[in-house]
Amino acid sequence: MEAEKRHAGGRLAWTDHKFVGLAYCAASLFFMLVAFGLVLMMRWQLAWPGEPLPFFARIFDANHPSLPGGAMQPTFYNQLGALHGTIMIFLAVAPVLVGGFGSYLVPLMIGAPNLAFPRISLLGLLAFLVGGLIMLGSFFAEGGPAATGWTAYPPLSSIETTGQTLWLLGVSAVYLSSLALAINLIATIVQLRAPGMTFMRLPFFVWSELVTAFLLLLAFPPLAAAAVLQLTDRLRGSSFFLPDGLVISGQPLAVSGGGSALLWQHLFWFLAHPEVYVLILPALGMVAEIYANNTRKPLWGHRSMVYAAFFLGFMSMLVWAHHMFLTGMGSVMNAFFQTTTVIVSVPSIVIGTSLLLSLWGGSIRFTVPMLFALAFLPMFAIGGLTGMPLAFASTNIPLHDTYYVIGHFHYVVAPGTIFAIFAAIYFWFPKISGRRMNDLLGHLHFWPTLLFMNCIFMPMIFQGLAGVNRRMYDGGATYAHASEVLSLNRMATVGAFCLAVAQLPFIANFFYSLIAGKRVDQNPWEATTLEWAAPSPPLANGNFPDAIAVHRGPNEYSTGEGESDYVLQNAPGEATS
Amino acid sequence: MSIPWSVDRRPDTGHYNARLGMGLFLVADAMFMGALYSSLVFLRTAGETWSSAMEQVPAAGHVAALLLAIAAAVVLSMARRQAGVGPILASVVLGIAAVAVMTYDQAQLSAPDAGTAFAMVYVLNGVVRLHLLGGVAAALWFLLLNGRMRRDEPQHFINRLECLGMLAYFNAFAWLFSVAFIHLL
Repeated sequence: MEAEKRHAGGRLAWTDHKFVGLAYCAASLFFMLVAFGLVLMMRWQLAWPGEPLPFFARIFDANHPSLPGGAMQPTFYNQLGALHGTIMIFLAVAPVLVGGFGSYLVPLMIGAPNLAFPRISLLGLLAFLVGGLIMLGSFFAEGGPAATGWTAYPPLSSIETTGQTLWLLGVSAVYLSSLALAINLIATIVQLRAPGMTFMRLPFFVWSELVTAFLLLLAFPPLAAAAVLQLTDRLRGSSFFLPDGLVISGQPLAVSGGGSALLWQHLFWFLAHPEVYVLILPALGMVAEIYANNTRKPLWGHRSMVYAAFFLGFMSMLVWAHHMFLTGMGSVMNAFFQTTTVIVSVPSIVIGTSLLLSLWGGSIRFTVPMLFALAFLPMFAIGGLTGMPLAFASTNIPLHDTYYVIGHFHYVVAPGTIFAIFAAIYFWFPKISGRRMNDLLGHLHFWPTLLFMNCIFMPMIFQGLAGVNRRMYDGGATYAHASEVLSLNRMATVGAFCLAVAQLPFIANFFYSLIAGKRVDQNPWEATTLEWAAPSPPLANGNFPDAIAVHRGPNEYSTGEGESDYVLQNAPGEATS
Repeated sequence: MSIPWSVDRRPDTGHYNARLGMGLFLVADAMFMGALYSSLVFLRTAGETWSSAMEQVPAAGHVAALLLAIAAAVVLSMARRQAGVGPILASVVLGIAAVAVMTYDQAQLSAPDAGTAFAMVYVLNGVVRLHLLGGVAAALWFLLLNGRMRRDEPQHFINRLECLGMLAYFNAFAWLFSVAFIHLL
């Protein structure tokens, strides 16, 4: 036991999946904080257009190009928007879900000693960090960072400042990181399962990571190809995305032409729509594990959830052009993509319904992770259901580029996915640190966060329905249509700043618990999956003290076997699944 | 702790880890190349005109022959269970020769009005050359830095050669597809 403790507290190798996972988590959460800071500045501008930002007014003089006297300029607003979206998606949410929790938990959950390719996982981490540094470094480039949104649509992006080149290089580095992660996770799950761990005994979280890894593997390369083409447009004078006859400020643009801006949109959305499922599938997986544990019963329809996740992953690659209804693709193409979009909602509903039914008849423990997981479901549902009008060209076109779209996808990934991330942090913190986070601070974190998330994003739905365009840097102050819903800008902004304050208990709780949290044994939640059969924290070298063999399904709760209401997957005996 | 199935094949999947990993990498690579081919198709079919200078682009059967020879050399070295250095060295020499020939061929292309059409040729050519250089670097690594593995863990070394062979075949097919797309459109 002493030796075990010594190992458990031992230094992790750089190539250990736990080190890589924790590094991804730390870096991603840092990037998330940065991206949240950027959007707070945007929200101030939207609520009080032209008013100097507090604090910044003292830093920037009246001649500063982006923030003269602390007042935001339109270009800088665009740059903040571009970097907020890019960082949140490519450097924060997706990496924490796949690189962080995926790298850390998947080997533990399948009884493996490490990822299949440890050195490649470290190289992927380094590529991710380089991509992040390039992206943040672009703030110091001449002309500032990219200002073309996270979608980087040409022709603007092909003629933008140096920051756009850095954006492309940063995204390319993130692509290499995703590739390393995807190959590693798939190979690990296929090859390194412990004896007895059949595919249907894999926890749903592992399935969700597997499907996500396939999405990254198949959907990201076209964006990498598009980035190569845009780089050659910018640096080598080609014009893949620049059509003939472009005029800027009255002057014809000196390019050979012959390209198409729509080509970028196709290549970009071929990744970017599946990316939504990259952001949501692991979140669903984490929530599923937490539901099973806190309802003390197996997931309802584990098998159908697995099939639904695979179908969802497949279909997600056939819906990309529903982002392009406004480009005039024609009624046949519109009909095809709105049909596939409606079809892709079916597996989402299967998974959501299974989760809802998993609660039915459960002996629910309202722990802090369970609170976040419970809140996830209605928030995700709002995000999903508000997506339905966007699936059809006839309703999509009037809603296109309005705040409705912003509200819709933020409901999916902010109170949706980010709630799942918080739930996962609270849930697996004892496994990672050997200590438990404080419950009172957890409640102080959860309730205000739930309230203020809705204060931010619900007004956007109403503003969007009123027709307010999402791209106006004054928040619609000069737009007659927006006058009746303009006050909602302030509500959302106050909500955003309150949300920032509401994160303080979490930050305090996290660091306090790391140092002085209550020590726990290896399975404080009385859970069934294999990571809870490892010491807390898991052994530095190989995770488990003994060879692991699996005898059961992932969620054997309340089976009536033995004195406790749970049976670990590696416990010998007669399996019920 | 060692990673299971790094050298031996897992009975139920039939793969060792690196073989599956290389297969997955090539699937992603196929998507990457597929996006470039799709872009070529999109631009070609959307454009009102297409430069006749595309006829200058050589059919490049000699390059295809070189690339297939590289793949054959790698497979030959793998098939010899002794994993001799001769065929690997041959693959390096052939790889460098292919890069040189492709660079020369590209330098011969010149047409001021070819614009996007030639740009796509350059990109496809450049991407295949990058793949070739990657293969050459890996082969040199195996030759120069994996001597002990070749002697003490021959199966592990042969596994690496198999993965290199997979890349070599992919390169050959990527080039053949590139030439086909350029000339058939």
